[in-house]
Amino acid sequence: MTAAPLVAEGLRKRYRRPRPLAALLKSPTQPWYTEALRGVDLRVEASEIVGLMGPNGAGKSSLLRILAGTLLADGGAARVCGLPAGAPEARRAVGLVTTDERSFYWRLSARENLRFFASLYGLEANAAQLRVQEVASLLGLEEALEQPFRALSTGRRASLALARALLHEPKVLLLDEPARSLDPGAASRLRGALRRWVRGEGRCALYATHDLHELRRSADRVLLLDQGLLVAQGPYATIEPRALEVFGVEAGAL
Amino acid sequence: MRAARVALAFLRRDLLIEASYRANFLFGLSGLLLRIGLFFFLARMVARLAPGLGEGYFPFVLSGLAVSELMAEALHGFGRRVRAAQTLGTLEAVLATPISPAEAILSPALLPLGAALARGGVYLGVALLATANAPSPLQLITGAAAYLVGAAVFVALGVLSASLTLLLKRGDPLGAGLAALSTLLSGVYYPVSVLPAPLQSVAQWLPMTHALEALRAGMGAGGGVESEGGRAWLILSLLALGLLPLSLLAFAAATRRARREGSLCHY
Repeated sequence: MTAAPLVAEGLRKRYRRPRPLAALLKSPTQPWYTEALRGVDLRVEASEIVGLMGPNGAGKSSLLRILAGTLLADGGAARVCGLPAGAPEARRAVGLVTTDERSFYWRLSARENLRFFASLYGLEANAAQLRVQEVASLLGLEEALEQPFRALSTGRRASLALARALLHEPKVLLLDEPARSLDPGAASRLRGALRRWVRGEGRCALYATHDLHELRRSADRVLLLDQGLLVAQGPYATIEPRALEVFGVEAGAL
Repeated sequence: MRAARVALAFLRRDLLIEASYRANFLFGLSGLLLRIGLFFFLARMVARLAPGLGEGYFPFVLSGLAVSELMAEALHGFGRRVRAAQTLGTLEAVLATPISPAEAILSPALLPLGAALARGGVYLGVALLATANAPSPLQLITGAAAYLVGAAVFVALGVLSASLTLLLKRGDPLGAGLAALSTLLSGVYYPVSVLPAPLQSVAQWLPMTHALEALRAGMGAGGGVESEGGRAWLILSLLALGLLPLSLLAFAAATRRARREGSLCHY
């Protein structure tokens, strides 16, 4: 049996919460931190697309960032392809998709943005050119490549974020609300691209979203986070009742 | 090889961004020429008022400008870029790639530091033309090397300042204080010898004082002021050797702290 590309054990994360002096004097024993993750275990096998859902503040983004190496956990361990999450080689194995439009250079074209990040992932100039073209074709972005990032539509920007994550052919794809700004056609293309990509050897994806319909269509299995704890996991259909309870939605309201 | 590729990627990115602001280059060039013109006429006035300093003031002040502008870019530039990347949101995206903190802080400085060195080269070229006794080739090489070693010291101080910026988000406590003190006391516009004795002692603690001394000793632009090039060289070299690795360690520690706090893209 091969090792799972993505493994986390007992992940804990808390953030300091600055408190005004008056509040500190009034209730000095109140915790000075917010618990984002309270001992999360997960395992994503090769060829799996695992959905990550939970209400706002459940810890989804913190979990993804720890696995991507841009956030350090306070406890527990995470491994990417057998390497400690955050180590340079582990970061090379990860593609991170965030919906943060600010993470691109607005005065550069889509192509130049992609070429820049391809170089940071170690691709040589010619290889980077070819790879940019490949991922653009895969995601239907060819026409957008020469446009400045600032001129792209929100949907195109989201697709570009996925293109950036795929440039270096990562083994693990971490997606934070990738389809949030996409129209149904673009979301469908993204699902197709993700499904084709994850069939490659040893690849997997962890996909955070609030969109339950999207999860039903995309994910092989779903993890439900609530207040920093993994409260349920399994195929979407089996955890839907618990998910609705966590979100405070009545059954049949969706 | 990989580090060179990363450095080239940042250089290309910055050149493309700069090229998208077409008027910027012209404004920069005209500012440079205006400053040279301003100090040319100021030097003529000084020559009339202080015949002892006389013709030497123009190359003296141009060498001062070459070093002080380089210092300003190095001291403030690193922190400014870290702050901009934090607020623009690109810092997290860049640090999600496998590049090291040292590559992340040094590579984006190539273009602005290169531009500051080029501006300094123009000042020094004009200063050499205006120097009464042309320096020997060996002096020229020594002067150029002093300029570059001084740049290394300022880069180290700039990286230290950027480490603080990454943690504090606002403010540039190290860079702002050092730049102000250096401009006042290090002999940019007037020789250190005109300062009261206590301030001359303070000036000896500032790297720019030694960078200017070594540079002027090399190119014979001391403006009639005696300089101890050898001693300044030694101090600068020791500072560069000690501060460069220290600053990179400090930045790596600051990056780790920001990763721990989750503040790579806070503003």
